[in-house]
Amino acid sequence: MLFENTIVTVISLSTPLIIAVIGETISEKSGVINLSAEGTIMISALSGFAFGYITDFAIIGFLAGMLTGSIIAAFISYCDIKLRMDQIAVGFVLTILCIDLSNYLGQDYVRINGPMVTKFAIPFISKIPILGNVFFNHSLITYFSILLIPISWFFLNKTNLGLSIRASGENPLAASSRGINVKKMRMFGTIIGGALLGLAGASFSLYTKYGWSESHTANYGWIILAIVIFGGWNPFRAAAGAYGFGLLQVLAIKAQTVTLALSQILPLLPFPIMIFILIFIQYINRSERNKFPKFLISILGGNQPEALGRKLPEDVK
Amino acid sequence: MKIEIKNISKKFGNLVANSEINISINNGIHALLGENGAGKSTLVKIISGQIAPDNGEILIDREKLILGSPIESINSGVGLLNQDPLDFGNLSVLETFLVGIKDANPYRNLKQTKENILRIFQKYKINIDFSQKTKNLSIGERQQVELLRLLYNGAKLIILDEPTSAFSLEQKKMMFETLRSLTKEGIIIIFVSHKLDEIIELCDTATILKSGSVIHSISKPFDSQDIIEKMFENTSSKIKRDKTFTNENNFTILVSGKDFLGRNTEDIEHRFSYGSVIGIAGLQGSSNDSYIKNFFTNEFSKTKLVLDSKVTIPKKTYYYMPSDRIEKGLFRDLNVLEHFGLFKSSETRFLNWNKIKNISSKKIKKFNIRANFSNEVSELSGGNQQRLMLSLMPENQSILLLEQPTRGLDFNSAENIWEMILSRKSKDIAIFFSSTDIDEIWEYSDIVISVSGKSIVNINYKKELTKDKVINYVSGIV
Repeated sequence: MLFENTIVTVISLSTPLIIAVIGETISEKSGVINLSAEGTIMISALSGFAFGYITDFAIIGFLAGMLTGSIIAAFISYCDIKLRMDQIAVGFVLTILCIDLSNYLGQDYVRINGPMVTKFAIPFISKIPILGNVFFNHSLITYFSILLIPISWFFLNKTNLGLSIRASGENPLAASSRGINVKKMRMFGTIIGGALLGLAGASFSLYTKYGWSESHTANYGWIILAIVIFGGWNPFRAAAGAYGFGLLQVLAIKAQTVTLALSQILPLLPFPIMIFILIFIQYINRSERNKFPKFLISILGGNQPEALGRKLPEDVK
Repeated sequence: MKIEIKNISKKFGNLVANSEINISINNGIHALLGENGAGKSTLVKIISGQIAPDNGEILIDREKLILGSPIESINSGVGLLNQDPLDFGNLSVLETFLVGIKDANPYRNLKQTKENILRIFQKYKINIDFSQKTKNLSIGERQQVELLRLLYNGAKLIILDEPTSAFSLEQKKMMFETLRSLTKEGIIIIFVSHKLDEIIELCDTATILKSGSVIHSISKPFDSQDIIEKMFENTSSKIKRDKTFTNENNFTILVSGKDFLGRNTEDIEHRFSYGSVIGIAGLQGSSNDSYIKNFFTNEFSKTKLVLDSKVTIPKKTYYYMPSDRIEKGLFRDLNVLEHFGLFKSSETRFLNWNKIKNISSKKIKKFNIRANFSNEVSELSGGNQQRLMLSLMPENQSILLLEQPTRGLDFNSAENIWEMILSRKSKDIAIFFSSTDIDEIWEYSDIVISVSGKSIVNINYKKELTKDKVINYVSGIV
C-alpha cells in the first residue's frame, strides 16, 4: 500500500518535469538549446495560473502557459535564425528577465485560490487492482505527460518530419543541401519545445505545486536541462530521469515523518547523484568504445546532436 | 542524356569567377580541370543550385534548369558528391540515407523502402550494415553511401568535387569501377580534380578552365604533359633554388624499430646536414603529416633527431607550422596586429603597441601580406594567411616543420610561399615539409622521406631517386 501510493505520487508529481524534459529534448534535437527553461517555466506558471484564475477554466490556463512558452521560444528562434546570435547568451538573459518579470507581474496572484485540476479516473480500467490505481487514476494532464513519452519518441524516430528535425540538429549544412528547409525545422522544433515548457509551467501552478508565489518554480528549469543530458536526448531515458528525480523528492517528503535528519539530506541527494551520473556519462562517451560493456554504453552513452548550440552556418539558406 | 551549359557568367564584386562558359556533354565521364581560382567550384555550385549565375542557362535533356535553387537542381537530376562527406555522423546509415529521400514518406512502409535501398547496395556490390552509426564508417564508405543515395534519388548527372582526396587506393579503385558502370547506364559524371593521373585513367572528355573561362576542350586520349602546359599557360616557375650548402653540422634521424602501433619495423637511420630541405611524401590519409607533427611532440613514435654528439636536438629549436591554418595555426577572430602582439607577448608583461606596429609593418611588407592591421584573419585569403604564419615564425629556429605548407593554395600563391620558405634556407636550418603532391616534393626537396600508410618506407637523397620511385614508395609498391 505504501509502495503503491509512492508510485502514484511520483507519477503525479513528475507531470511537469516529464512535459518539460520532452519539450527541451525536442528543441535540442533540432539544434537549439532553450536555456531559458528556468525563466520560461516560471513565467508560464504565472500566466497559466493567472489566466486560469481570471477565466476560471484550467484549460485556458494551460493554453496560456503554452502560448507564453511558444512566444519566448519564437523569440529565441528569431535570434538564432535571423540574427544568428549566440543561443546561450540569449537564453541566459531571457531567464533572468522572465524570472524578474514573473515576480513583478505576479504580485496580485500570490497565495489565492484558482481553478484546480481534478482527478479523472478512467472508467473500468481504473478498477483493475493496483495497476488501475497506479496508472489510470490521475488528472488529464498526467495522462498527457505519460502519453507524450512514446509519442515524442515515435515522432522523432519514426516520422519523416522528426528525421528532418534531427538532421537539422546534426548537420544543418548537409540537411540544407538535401533540400530540407533547415530554418523552418529549427523554428518548428524550438517552438514546439517552448510550448511544452510553457505547458509544464502551467502544470506546476495549476496542479502539482498549486497556486502562485514568488519564484514559484525555482530551480526546476535548471534541473530539467540537466535531465535532458542525463537522458542522452532520448525521450524514454529523459522520462526515466525525471521520474527518478520525482521519486527522490517523494522519498524526502515521506522521510520527514521518520527522521528529521534524513528528510533534510534527501532533498539534496538528487543533485550530487545527477552530477556524478553526468560525469560518468561524459566519461563513457569520451573513453574508448570497447572499454565498457556494450549494454552500459547503450544505456548511458549519450547521443548529443552534433550542431547543438552552434550558430547556423552562413551557407544555409 | 545531354547536358548543355550555355554562356554561364558569374561575378563576385570585381572578381570574374565564370565568364561565358559553354560546355556540352553527351555521355561518359567529363573532367573539369584548372588551377585554384580557375572557376571550377563556382561552376559546380551553379549547376547544383547553391549559387545563381548572373546570366546563362543550363539545359538537361533540352529542358531548362531553374537556376539558384538546390531543390530544383536535385529534382532535375543533379547530384553533388562533396569533397568531404556531407552527412550525419550520429544518425544510423539508414537514417542518413533517408534524409531528403525522394519517397514521400519512407516511414509509412519502412520495410519496403529498406528493401529498395538494399537492392541498390547489392547492385553495386557494396556491403554495409545499415543499423550502425554513420560515423563508424570510413570516409570512403561514407562517400559510397552518399553516391548510392544520389542514384537512389534519381540523379542523372553526378558531380564529384575532388572526391578521392580521402580515399585509400583500394577504395579509389572500387569507386572508379562503380563510376564506369554508371556511365553504361547513361549517367553523366562531371569529375572535378587536379590529379592528372586520375583524370587520364578515368575520364573521356575534359574542359580546362582558366581565370573563369574555358580555354580548352579535349578528349581521350590525353597527354599529361600537354594538359599541364595548357593548365599553366603563361605561368612559369621563377624561383631560383640552387642554394646548396655543405655543412659539417650533421644530425641523424632515428626511426625506431617499432612503429606507433607497436609492430616491429626496420630500424632506419639517416644522416642529414643542416641546410637541407627534407620533403616527407605520402598519399592523402597516410601518416606523413603525423611525422611532421610528431618530430615536434614525440608522441607518435620513437623517431627522433639526434646530433652527431648523440644529443637529441632540443624541442625548443623546433618550429611547427600546422596545415590547418585557420583552426590550428591562427586565431580566426583576432586581427593581424593582435597576432604580432601575441607573438611578442612572451617577452614583456605589458604590450607596447607602437613597437609592435613598427615590427608588424616591416613584416607585412617583407612577407608581402596583403592586409591591414585591423583585418581579422578570417577575412584574409588562404595565401595571405599562410604568409602571415610564415612571418610569425621566429628567426632563430633551426628545425622547421611545415605541414603541407601550400595546402589549398593556387599555383602562384604556392610559388610565392616557396620563395619565402627557401629564403630561410641557410646552413643552420633544416626544413622539413610534408606534402601529398609528389611534384611539389620533387621540386623542392633535397632529401625525400617516403611514407606509405603509417610507416616510413624509404629515406634517400633526391639525386639517388627518381620521381617514379617516390610514387611507387608512397603507393606501397616497393
